[in-house]
Amino acid sequence: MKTSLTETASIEKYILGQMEPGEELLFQTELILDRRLRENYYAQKKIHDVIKVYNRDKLKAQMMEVHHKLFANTSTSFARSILHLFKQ
Amino acid sequence: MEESKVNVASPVSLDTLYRRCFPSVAAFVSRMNGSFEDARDIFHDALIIYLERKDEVHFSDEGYILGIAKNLWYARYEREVKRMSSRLSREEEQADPGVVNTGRLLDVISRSGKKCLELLHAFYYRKDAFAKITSDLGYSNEHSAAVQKFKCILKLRSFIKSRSLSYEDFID
Repeated sequence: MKTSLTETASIEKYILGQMEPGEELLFQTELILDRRLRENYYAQKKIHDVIKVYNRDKLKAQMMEVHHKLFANTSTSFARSILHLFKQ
Repeated sequence: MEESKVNVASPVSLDTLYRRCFPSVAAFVSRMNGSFEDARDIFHDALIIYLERKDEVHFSDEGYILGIAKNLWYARYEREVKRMSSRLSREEEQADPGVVNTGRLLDVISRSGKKCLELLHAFYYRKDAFAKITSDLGYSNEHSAAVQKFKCILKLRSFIKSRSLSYEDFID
């Protein structure tokens, strides 16, 4: 049985698409045969999904900040050129 | 923060991208009879996709972002039409297990494991080196930060497993 560290590193490499083709095939076979490895893989993949959502939340907050800064003053040429597009 | 290495854009680079790319997206949404808020939302979503993939993008950022924004706009329009025709309720939409599950997990982990979240985010998304992570997050040395990253993965993995009733809960 692989040690936790080796296993965690292998799963990470697979998730990040950093395995060589042969290594990847072997890992996929192990995933099918080893239930515990499969459980750990799904959980570790979920961590990446969570971090991705966290990253998006951070980006959205930063974007709203920039948006508010750019449109706080509606008389700048940039703001006027955009707002003009939406005048009825 | 080095702009070429990060997916979380620095305020300066976001500002630049905003000034350069928002006008064409806004002009497109305006032609489609969308509102200023629609243009903002579509632009933000397109910008996120661009920032997540920018290492693979070989076109101009403006053209790429406008292309994504157009696709998002048409996809949204199609969803609206489908929703109206199938009377898909808001509750049904929210019941999407993948979306809800990941968001809920993030809420829980944000409260109980904020430092782990920051560490993994810095490593996977900002692609910071351990030297930077060590100083930003206050670890004693790089080895300690690397060990902590490993421990965080084990801790979160075990937390996720303990909260999941079945494999289906993992899968989006």
